[in-house]
Amino acid sequence: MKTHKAAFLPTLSVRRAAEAVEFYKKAFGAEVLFCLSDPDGGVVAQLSIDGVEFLVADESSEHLNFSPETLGGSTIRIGLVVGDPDAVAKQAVAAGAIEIYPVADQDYGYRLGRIKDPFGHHWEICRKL
Amino acid sequence: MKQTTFFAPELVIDNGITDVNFYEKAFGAVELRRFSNDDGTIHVSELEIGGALFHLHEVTSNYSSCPLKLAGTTVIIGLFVDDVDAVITSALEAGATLRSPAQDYFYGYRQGQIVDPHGHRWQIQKRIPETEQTDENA
Repeated sequence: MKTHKAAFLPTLSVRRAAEAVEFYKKAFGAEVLFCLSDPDGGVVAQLSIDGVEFLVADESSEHLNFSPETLGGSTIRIGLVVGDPDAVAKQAVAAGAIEIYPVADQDYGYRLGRIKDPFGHHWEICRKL
Repeated sequence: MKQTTFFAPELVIDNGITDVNFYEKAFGAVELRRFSNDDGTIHVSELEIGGALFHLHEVTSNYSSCPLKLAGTTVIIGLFVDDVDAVITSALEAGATLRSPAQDYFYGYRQGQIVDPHGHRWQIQKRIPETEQTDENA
């Protein structure tokens, strides 16, 4: 079949999305492109890390969007390829992420480490070796 | 200049999966490499869809699990494509289920959502060029 040029725009479901936005700003230097609140206090925000966009939204069981806290784990880890994974992981940990394993050269050809953010999402911060 | 920062999502799939046919048929994904278990089931599969890299990982730890085991998903994968309707049609033919049909939204996107056979939710979308937007959704 025809291949197409494609790009990802992940939506991360969290509890406390407003706090999560603040965390991603500090951890990854994310810029807020827009941030919408509904009358119940639910927040949806679109952020950009170095031009790479993603969405953060309060979980909504009605829409089957669950936070890792609610499910007790996450179903997708966010692989984030960057120029300097050591610096990015360090900044995220300084902002409150937990290091799952440190950035190191992996035998499958990546320099990569994993962190867990305060909202339960796991990020693999890496670059190709 | 080649983009140096990008997302490469890691989709957790159940243990015992042997093929990536769905992603090939639905999205025209190409498998770049695979790490298999001794019994031939997928440990990690590296794929790309039109230049967008992603990985499938079988369930290996308490931190992550697959949507079928957790009965839900924590991330929706938005995928920008040129032809939303065609990609949704091929995804359904490949075994996905439709969650919301493709339609134009007032914020200038055409979007539809499908659930893949491993339980992951994909939002297939494109930005509608301004010249094609009607007054109603401009």
